[in-house]
Amino acid sequence: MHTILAVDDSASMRQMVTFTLRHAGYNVVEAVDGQDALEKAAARDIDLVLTDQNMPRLDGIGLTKRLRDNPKFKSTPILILTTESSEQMKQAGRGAGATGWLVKPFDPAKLIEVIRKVVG
Amino acid sequence: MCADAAAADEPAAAGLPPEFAADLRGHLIAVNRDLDRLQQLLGDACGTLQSGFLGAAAHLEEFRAGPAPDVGCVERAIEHLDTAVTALQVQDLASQLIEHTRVRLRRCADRLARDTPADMVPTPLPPNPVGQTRMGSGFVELF
Repeated sequence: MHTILAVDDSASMRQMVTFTLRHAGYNVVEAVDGQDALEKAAARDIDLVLTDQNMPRLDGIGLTKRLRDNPKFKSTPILILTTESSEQMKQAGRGAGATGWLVKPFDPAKLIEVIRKVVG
Repeated sequence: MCADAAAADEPAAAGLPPEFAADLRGHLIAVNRDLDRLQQLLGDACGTLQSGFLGAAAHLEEFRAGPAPDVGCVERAIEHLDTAVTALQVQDLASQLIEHTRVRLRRCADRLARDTPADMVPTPLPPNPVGQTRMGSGFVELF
């Protein structure tokens, strides 16, 4: 079973993401921001990171950069799920090493389709 | 209600440098527009939640009342619940929009509280993180 690290400072969003992923058969680890995600990712094997962008302490693009700096996460898929849809922000995510950019609100079926595409 | 038309004809606020008054008016118009959008998002989300709830309940009732267990009823109920999952994300969008508006209003209040026009130089506001006007699902792009 694949393990997904779901990162969002909004409790309601984490709940919706976790509900959707668990229902699709994934194991989910939750983190409340980028810093928390780094600590949780260091402690276990993660197959995919699904992160929000705007968060306190460390945002999604910052988290992506920090994970890509770690050889353990060099090829781990990282999806940024955010309200932000500006081209500039999206390119910053791409430059940081993100695998994809998803704009909220997400449709559960589409989210699972994308995740299956990147982790199988 | 949209404030654009009303604001366009208003004279500069008495006692304020014209540039500052125009900037302030621009912020208030943006606040008004964001509140309109918030109302639209909430209305959209509530409508979707209601139809998701009623749809799921109807299919579960159909499942319960049917002569034999029909998995199709449960699958259709789950599809309705999926629409609710999308609509429930309104809390995240709404709170980001409210926080952005709060920052905008706080900066306006801070500038009004300063003593001299020279102190009234605007500080750039971070871009609004929420551009959505509907609760339909957003786009996906894989790099």
